[in-house]
Amino acid sequence: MASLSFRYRVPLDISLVVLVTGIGIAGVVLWHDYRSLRADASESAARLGQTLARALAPDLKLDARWPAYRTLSALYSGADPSWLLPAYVVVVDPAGRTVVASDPVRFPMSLEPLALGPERAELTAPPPSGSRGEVVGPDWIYRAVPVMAGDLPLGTLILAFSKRALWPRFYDSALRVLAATGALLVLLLPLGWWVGWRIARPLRELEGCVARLGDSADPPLACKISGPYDELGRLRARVESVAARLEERRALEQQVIRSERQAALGRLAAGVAHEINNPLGGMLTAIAMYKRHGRDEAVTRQTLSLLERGLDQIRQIVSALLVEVRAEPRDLTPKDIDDIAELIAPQVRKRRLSLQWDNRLSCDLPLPAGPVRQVLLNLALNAAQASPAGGSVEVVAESRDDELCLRVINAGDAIDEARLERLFEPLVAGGEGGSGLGLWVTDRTVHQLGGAIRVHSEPGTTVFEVVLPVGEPL
Amino acid sequence: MRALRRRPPRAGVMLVVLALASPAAAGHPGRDREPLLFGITPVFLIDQASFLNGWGRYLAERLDRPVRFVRRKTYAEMSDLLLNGELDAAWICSLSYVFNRASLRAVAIPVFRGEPYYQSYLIVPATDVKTNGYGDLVGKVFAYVEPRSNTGYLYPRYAIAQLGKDPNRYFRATFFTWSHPDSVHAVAERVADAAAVDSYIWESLKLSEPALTAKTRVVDASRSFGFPPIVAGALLDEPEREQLTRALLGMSKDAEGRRLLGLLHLDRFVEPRDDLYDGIPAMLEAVMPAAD
Repeated sequence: MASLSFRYRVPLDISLVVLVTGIGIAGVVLWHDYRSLRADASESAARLGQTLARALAPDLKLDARWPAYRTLSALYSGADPSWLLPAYVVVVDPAGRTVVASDPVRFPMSLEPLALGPERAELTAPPPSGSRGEVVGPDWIYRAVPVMAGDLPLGTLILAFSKRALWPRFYDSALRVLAATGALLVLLLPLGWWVGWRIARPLRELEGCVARLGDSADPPLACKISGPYDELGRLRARVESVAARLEERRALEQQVIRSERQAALGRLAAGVAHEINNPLGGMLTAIAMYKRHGRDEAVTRQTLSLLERGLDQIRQIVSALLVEVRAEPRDLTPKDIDDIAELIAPQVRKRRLSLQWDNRLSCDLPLPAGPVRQVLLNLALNAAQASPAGGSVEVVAESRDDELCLRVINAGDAIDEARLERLFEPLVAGGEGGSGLGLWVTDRTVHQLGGAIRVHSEPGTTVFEVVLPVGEPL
Repeated sequence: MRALRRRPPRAGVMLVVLALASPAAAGHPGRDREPLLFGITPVFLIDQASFLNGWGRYLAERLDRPVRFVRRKTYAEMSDLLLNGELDAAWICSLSYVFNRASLRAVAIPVFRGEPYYQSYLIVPATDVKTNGYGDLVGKVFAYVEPRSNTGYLYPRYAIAQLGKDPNRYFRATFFTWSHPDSVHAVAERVADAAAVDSYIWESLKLSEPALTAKTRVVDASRSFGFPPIVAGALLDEPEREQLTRALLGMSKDAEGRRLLGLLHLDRFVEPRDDLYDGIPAMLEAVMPAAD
C-alpha cells in the first residue's frame, strides 16, 4: 500500500471512503428500521390490546364465549394475516383460567390457571397503573391488557408476539435498504474512482515533471501543467522555477566547462610553445653551423637530419594540439590516449618526472574522443603538478568488458580527508595557481558520459580512477 | 292428507289469475297492505339474501301483501314477539313451540328427506376418534346452541340425565353459540370438544360446505323429533293463517316453489300435526322440571 502509486491509491482511498460511508449509512438505516419496526409492533400491539379489550368486554361480561371467540378468530380470518398480529391471544379470568383463546387447541377453556411459563404470574396479575403491561421473554413478547366492565375486572387479555415474526418483515426492508445501498455504491464507486483519478492526475504530472529535473535531454521547462492556483498550483510554480534555475545553472556549467577547456588549452600552450622553442633553438644552431662550415657532405647530412628530427618533433606536438582543439565528435582511438602523453610531456620534462604510460587499448571505442581526452588530460596534468619534482606518474588505460578504465597514479602527498570529501566541488581543489575548476569539470564530464570517478589517496600514492561505460559506436 | 294437499294449487292459480288481471298489482303485490312480518333466527340456514328475496316475493304474490323478514337472535325473543303480536309468523324451534303451544298455532311443517322429522346429532372434531357418545364426554368443553333449542340443548342434557349424570356438572365448560352452524364451527375449530346440532342443519351444511362438516364427525343421533314448525303470531287471524298454510304447502307444486325448497334442501311443507312434538314434554320433565 505504501508504495502504491497515487494514481491508484487516491481513487482506492476515495472508493474505500464511499464504501465505508455506504455501509455505515446502510447500517444506521437498518438499525433505525429495526427500532421503528419494534416500536411499530409495540404501538400496534398496545392499540390492538386496547381495542380487543373494549370489544370483548360486553361478551365477557355475559360469559358469551362464542362471540368472544368469533371476535378473536376474525383477527386471523384473512388469507394473509398482518405480521403485526400476535401469534395468539388468550383471555384469562381473574383467577388465571382460560376463558377463550384464538387458538383453542393450544389453550382450551380450563378450570386450572393457564401455564404460560415464568411470565404468567406477572401477566395474569393486574398490571400496575402506568405500566405498559409488556413482558419480554427470550422468544416471546407478552402484552397483558385488563378487560374491565366499568370497575369490574373481567379478566386479562394476553397477546403473545413471537420475536421471529418481526424478522421476515425486517429482512424485507433490509433487502430493500441493501439493494438501494448497492445501487448507490455501483453509481458512486466509479464516480469516486474518477474523482480520485482527477485529484491524482496533477500529482502524477508533477511527479513526471520533477522526475525530469536535471535531465538535460528533456528539461521539465517543457512540461506545462495547467490548473488552478491552489496548493498544487503553487507547488507547480515552485517546480517550474526550480527547473528554470536548474536550467540556468546547467547553462552556466556548460559555459564554465567550455572556458575551463580554453584555460587548460592556454596552460598547455605555454608548454607547447616551450616544446616548439627547444627544437627550434637546436635547429637554428644547426643552420648557423651549416652556414659557417657548410659544403661538407657530412655536415649537410647531419644538419638536415637534425632539422628533420626537430621538425618532426614540432609536427607531433602541433598535431596533438590540433586534435585537442578540434571538437567534432568521433570515436576514441588508442592514438588519442598517446596524444595526451605528448601533450603533458613538457610538464613531465620540466619537473623531471618519470612517466609510465601504459596504453592497453588496441582498437577504437564507441566513446566521444573529446571529453575522454579532456578528462585524461586534466587528471594527468593534475598528477604531474601534484607529484614532487623527480617523482613518478603512472597512467593506465584499459578496456574491460563494456567499460573503459583510466587510472592516473601519482606519488605526491596524500590528499587530506576533509579536502577529499569535497574534492570535486568547484573552487576546492585549486592549488598552485589552478582555477579550482579542473576536478569539478572532470567530474561533471564523467557524469555526463554516464561514468564514475573515484579517488584513493594515501601518503606517497594517490589514485584517480575513471570508469566509463562503453555505448554504441558513434 | 291428500285432499288437504290438493287445495293449495287452486289458491295458487287463483292468485296468479288475480295478479294477471290487475297489472298494477302484478309488479308490487298488495303493496298498499300492511306487510306480513316473518321472524327468522340465525339458527337456521335461511339467512341468505338471495333465498329470502325469492321467498319473500313468492309468499307476497300468494298472500297478496308484502312480506318482511325480521331477524332476532334467540328463540325466546322470537316467541315473545309472536305472543305479543309484533310478528305475524316465524320459524321457531320445536322446543319453543312446545313451550308456547297454548298461545301459538303451527301453520306448516317442513318435510326433510321424506319425513317431517329431524334428529339431534352429537358431533366431535374429526380428529377425535375415541368418543363414541355422551358417555365419553365427561370433563369436556361442550357447545350448546341455545337454551330454547330442542336438538342443541334439551336433548343433550336429557341424554346425560339418562346416563344418570347431572348435566350441570358433567362438562368442564359449556357455552352457547346461538346457532346450529356456529356449533358446527365451534367443533370444527375445536373451541368445543363436542356439540349437539340439528341433523337437518348438519346434513344441509354437508351439501353446501363439505369442508366444514368434514372437520366434524357424527358420533350419535337421537331418536326423531317433529321438525321445527312455522307458527303464526297470536294476532294473525284464521283466514290469514290458512292463506299462509296454503302458500307454504303449495311451494312443492310449482317450479319457483320447488327451486326455493331446493335451496333449503326441503321436500315440501305439510299441514301441522301436533302429535309430532309429543315426546318433548317428557324430556323437559326429566331435565327441566321447573320449566313446564
